[in-house]
Amino acid sequence: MDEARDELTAAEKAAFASLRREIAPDERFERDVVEALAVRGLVRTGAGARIVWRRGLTMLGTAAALLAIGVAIGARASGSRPSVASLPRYVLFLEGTDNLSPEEESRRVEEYKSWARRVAGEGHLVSGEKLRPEVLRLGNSPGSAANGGESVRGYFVIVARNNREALEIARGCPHLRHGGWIVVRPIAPV
Amino acid sequence: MDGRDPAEAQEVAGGASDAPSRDRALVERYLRTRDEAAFLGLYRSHTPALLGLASRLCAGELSAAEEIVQEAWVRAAQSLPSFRWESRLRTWLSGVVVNSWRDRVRARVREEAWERELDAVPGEEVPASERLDLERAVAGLPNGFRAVLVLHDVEGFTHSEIASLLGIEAGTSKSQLARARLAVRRRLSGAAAVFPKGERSGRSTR
Repeated sequence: MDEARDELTAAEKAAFASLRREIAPDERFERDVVEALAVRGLVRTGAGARIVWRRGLTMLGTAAALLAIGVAIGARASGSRPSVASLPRYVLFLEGTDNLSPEEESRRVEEYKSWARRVAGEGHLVSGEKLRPEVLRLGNSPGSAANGGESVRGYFVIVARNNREALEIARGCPHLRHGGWIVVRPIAPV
Repeated sequence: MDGRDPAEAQEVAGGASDAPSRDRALVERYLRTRDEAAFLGLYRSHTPALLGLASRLCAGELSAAEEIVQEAWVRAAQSLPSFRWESRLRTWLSGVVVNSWRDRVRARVREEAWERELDAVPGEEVPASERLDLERAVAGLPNGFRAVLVLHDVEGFTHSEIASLLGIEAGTSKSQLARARLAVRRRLSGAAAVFPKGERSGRSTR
């Protein structure tokens, strides 16, 4: 294409340059960005105050650590979606709910599966499994026996941009509707 | 000011006294301490422009632009230690934004389709009834065309910078730009002119 024809007139130049603009970010976005950095250890936030919801979640000693390690290995083996690889990962511990009749149980499993498929379809799911009720222990647990991991019924590993998004995803899990609770833990970058 | 560095133009216009040395001081402090306040200093002075750029690249989709800018800050925070100050910080950050945008598009269109994406020819047909303004004409370009046009004509990058940012040849960047401009002019002709009056006569497309 010939160069002269291709040049912009001064007015066209100005018109294009006028498209340059700034967009002031809102506070929510600023918090999201700082949090995304904090989760990766790239910024030290004031006294850890940003990750408020983590307080009070004193739970699950050895069992959680073992689970998290197992999960981390699983995820590394399974996953290479480029857009998702760089996002922080979270473990969702599904806890509580009573023992169910076998048919109620399998209905629930289907329900959880369809939720998991939806989350996977949105690119957020890394892995997830239902746990059997047995708890095998090694080592000395300093905590009370009540906090020994029995309440964990299953887990999901997800990726999310930040705590807020992780909680949003967890909130959609049918587990909450059935009287269970979910503990969301960010996986530490190693 | 040489007219080629939009960051500088804006900073001068904005009255910031010595933005580059301020950037440098903040980056040094941030890297030394990973301190939130230092990061926020950088974040607040550059994010508005980066969001503007990302939203142009995303054809105005703000939530996508935010995701890209967030990803860009994470990447920037990771690779700042290796930044050598051979360009201005704003220029470097803009490059990080472009990379994040590119990776996002790639992830969506599958790797093999990226070349085609860059090569897609803008449609010839313009809905005559539709009054397109310049902004929408640019937003309506295919990804590869829009990127080159936004980076060159809106943001002031050179062809060789664009080539390295998008992973294409400089010659490709030039021809993409020519075709993108042509497409924009074509989209604007027929619809009411939005380029300032008189300037378009005789320049509309064949």
